[in-house]
Amino acid sequence: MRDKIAIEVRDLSVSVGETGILKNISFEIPKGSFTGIIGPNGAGKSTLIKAILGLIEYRGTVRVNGRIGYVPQLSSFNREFPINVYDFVRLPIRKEKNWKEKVDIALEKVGLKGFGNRLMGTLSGGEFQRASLARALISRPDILILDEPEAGIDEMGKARFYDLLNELKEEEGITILMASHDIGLIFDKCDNVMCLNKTLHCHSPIHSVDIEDIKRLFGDFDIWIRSREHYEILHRPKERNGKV
Amino acid sequence: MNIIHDLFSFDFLRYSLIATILASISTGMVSPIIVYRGMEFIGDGLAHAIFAGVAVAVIANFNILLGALSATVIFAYLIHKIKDLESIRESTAIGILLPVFMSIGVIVFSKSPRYTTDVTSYLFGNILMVVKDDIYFLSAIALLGAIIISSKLYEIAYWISDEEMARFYGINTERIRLTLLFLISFIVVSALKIAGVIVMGAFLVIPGVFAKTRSLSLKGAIYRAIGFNILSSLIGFTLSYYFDLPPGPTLVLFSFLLLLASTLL
Repeated sequence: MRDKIAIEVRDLSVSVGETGILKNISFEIPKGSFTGIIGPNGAGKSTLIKAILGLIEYRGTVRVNGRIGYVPQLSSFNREFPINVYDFVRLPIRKEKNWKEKVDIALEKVGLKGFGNRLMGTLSGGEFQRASLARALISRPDILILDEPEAGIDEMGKARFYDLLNELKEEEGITILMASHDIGLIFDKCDNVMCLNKTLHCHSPIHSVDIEDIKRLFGDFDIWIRSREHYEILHRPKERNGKV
Repeated sequence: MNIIHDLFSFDFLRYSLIATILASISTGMVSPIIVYRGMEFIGDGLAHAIFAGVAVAVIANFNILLGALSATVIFAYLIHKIKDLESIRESTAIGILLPVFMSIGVIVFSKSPRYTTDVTSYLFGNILMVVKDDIYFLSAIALLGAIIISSKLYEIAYWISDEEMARFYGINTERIRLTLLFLISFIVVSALKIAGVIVMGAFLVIPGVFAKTRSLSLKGAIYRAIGFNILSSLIGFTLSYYFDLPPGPTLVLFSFLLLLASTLL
């Protein structure tokens, strides 16, 4: 059973001083699944990801079954610093002798062939995140964790990026865990969704998510529904839920 | 008055020139790291720490260089620790510690009858007092800096551009930070006679600012900063010689003018 689980989290809590950021979070992420984490600003999505990655201190247990690749938020990088795409991407394999060949292969995979000598600061948001994805993939991870990768990317760039993630999941069986503000895309692309706001409000397959859970999470206002299409996606599960 | 002739005739002038070039190399080497990382006040902070260290050394009557070195090492270590404990930026930690060390220096010096003379030579530098031992010390520190930076260039670059990812993929960012803080401390102490505590900040910041927007890599920025520092120091040194101006401040003023000219042209 255990070898079917990619990430197992038990009673995870994170606090900064007296303030609780996350409280008693427990869940399992099945291998090969694509799970989205949604929640309002300040819900603790990034904190949860950083705890899983071991970048911050926490109470509880986190078990990770496999190698992790990580795509952080765009804002974590100092864009004024002159580093080219080759040097940016080779971080996980920097000590290997044939890093350049491997970086070229990774860049081709994410659609950035020939970008190696470009400075990171000159890339568009979408290109930057694809370079981040190449860096995460170069260590051949079993699990890919992404923290709001769509922030700062235009709609076209977003669509290409998510298609790329789906390809990775389908072709290479990589487990994907992604925090996002884009609820529509999460419902469109993911198998499972986790609703987070300090605690875990729901964690279930996309089609059995209860709209009431989402409302409790974000409040009564449907301000997060940005189009009629998204609204329908979110209301469809409720009906299905009733039938099951 | 011919500077070339005098350089061959007077040891002190030759030593001053060599020391100026060496200090330009070592400060230029770390300047882009300081500027890209946003630690521009490190030079001022360390200079104030040196002030406190010198004060204590004068009062306690032990080696001034040792006093300065100890104070900067303590200062650098405290920046490292406060940053970790409070999750703040280095520049904020420097801002906290700078007045604390300055206050220690002022209080200790206020009890010393040698206050004025010691303070001025440490505030503005005393380039013509350079002796052979200073040259050895400067050379050793410049060499140490070159070894550390060239062997860890990639790790340092990632520490500056994305500390979290560097840590995630196994770079010991704490060690990088502490090593660089210590190295900058040693460089500041070694260059003290050339720049003095007041003008040290300019030696550490201006070449980095020049290199920042003109470089395609950290390595390129370091070479540019060193080149800028050497050129501006040599011309500043010559100007101070011919116009009989205090060398440290003249060097800094010329460095600033060069930066201004390079920005406008």
